Amino acid sequence: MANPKKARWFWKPWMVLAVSLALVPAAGMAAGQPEDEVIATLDGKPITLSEIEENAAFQIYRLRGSIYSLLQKEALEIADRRLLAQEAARQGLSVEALLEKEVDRKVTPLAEKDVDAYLAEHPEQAGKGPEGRARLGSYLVERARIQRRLDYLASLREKADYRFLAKSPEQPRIRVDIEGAPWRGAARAPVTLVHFAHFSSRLCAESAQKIRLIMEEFPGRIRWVHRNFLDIQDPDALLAAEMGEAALRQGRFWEYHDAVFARMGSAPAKAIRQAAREADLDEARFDGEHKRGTLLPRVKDDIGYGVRIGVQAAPVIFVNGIYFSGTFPFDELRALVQKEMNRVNKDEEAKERGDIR
Amino acid sequence: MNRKNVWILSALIVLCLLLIVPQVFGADKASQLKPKRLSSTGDSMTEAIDSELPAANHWASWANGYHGFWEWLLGLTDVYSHNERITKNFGSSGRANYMEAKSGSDMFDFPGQAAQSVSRQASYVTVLMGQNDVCQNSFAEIPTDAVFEAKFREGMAKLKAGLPAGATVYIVGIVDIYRLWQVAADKRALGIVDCEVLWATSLLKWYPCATMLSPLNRESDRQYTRGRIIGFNAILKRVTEEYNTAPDSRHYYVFTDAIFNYRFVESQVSDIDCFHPSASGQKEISQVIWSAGPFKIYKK
Repeated sequence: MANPKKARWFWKPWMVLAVSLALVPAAGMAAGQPEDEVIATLDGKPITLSEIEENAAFQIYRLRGSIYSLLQKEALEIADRRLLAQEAARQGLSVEALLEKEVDRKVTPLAEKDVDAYLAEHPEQAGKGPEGRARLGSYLVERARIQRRLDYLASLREKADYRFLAKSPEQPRIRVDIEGAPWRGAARAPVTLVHFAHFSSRLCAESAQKIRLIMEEFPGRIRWVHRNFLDIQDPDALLAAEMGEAALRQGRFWEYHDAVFARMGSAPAKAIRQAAREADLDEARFDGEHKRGTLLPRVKDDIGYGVRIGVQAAPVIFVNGIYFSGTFPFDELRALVQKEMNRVNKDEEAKERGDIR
Repeated sequence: MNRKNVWILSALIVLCLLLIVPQVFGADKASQLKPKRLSSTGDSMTEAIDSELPAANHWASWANGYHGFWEWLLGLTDVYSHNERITKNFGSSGRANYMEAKSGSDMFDFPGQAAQSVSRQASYVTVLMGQNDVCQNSFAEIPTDAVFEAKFREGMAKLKAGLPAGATVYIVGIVDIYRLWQVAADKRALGIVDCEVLWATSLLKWYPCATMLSPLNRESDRQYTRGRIIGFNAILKRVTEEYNTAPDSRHYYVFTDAIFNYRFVESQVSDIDCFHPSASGQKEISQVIWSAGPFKIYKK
């Protein structure tokens, strides 16, 4: 670290925030308060944490996640510093002298053949002349020193008993509003997937493919809902979303959805028109609605709602209210869907037994 | 020599001394101009790439950002940029807000951007440059200290020669992109976004930073790149100090490494590309840099 004094100064306020936020749930439990904590009152009436979480659960989760990861990194840094200090004291050296002895002096000096070996492994970096070779040499020397230090610290950690005890935050379940949004699949399916996406994104087209595979694997068990999330300043994405709204009004949303996503995110205005024709949309009706601006409000509502529940970039799939980025692999989505089905099944069985009302 | 000539000679000597002495012993510094004419030099960090929407988000730039009717209507973030702070503290008359920063720029582009700042007759120039010097396709492409310093000096010389008397140049140390990489790992762990997918599909094509983001890197590779940032920041600091001690009575030079030391958290890094600061990150950068800067006493 360049300036440890300054770094410590910067992280003090974080410590205060982290410790305060970490202690809030513990303090609540210790005092025997119910989980639904009163955060504020208005004319004596409570505003509770669960009310706040209706809108901000995911943002709160992200903040708790940041605190957790900050605590994790800082705790490890402190542990490493202590391990070095302990080892230095054991050997009767200063920390600097210990590192000099165990790291710097043990780094093998660089030979020309090391540079040759690196270039043989990375041929794309060859041909940069003597200057490039010299820079590569400096990199290899420094990397070897850093690696030696990392290995040395790892060996100290291995001998010690380090445990990180803070609990990672749990993903919240959000009540995602799907009123009026296009959907397909089973109306009373145990798992609802709400896809926040836009039609001119390759990543969104790929996440739509993942959902399609899930639908095929679990027929009758999935409901797929689409909501728009896009950059409103991107004219192609906006046109595609408005065309989607027109398709919904004409009862042909999913035909258009599949036709436009078949283009895998490459959807300039011409391709959007082509997809609309493939979906058999009334383009003259679209043109009229587009001109009057009547298609836009719902698209904007979707974006605003997405932002409120924590979406920052499409694609996002809410699986029964649990946030899941569409960028994650199919297997992870499948595992989450399966977990949700098992949970719903268990709840239903419990209801049948009368354990849950 | 008659009495009259002695008087004339004495008067001439006194006049010469009056003209020469201040230059020898350091003249009074030109009074500092209000930072009303802002010109920012830099790269995608200053252009606020992917901070809120895909592509450049100039309204969300820590330096030049703005929050007018359209930004308010669309619910975009008000980052309370240096531009906004200047208007709030010094008033709107005579204001100018220029962004010379361009995505992908590195220290080789600094002299050109500095020349632009001079042509604007800026009274406040911000410099946040160097991220792309360490962000390269390969480690051997990271410039040497000597090359980096030479280009920085070339730009600084242009600013010194051309900015109006009393102008301030504020040099901000390179962001710790190792921390941005760490935050991306947090995003994945929290299930927010798979950053490696984003880097593979978009970021690495447009803003190559294999020296930090390549999945083939070892931890020692990433720490090597971080070490180069620390080295470059030391150069920025040393040269800035040199400019302050050199007999340039016309300008003010300030350096901070506050952003290098800043601990970005998950929500302050873009979900769009998992690398650039998000709008919330830009807001924090604006605050941190202002609070460490030449106009920090202006707190509005």
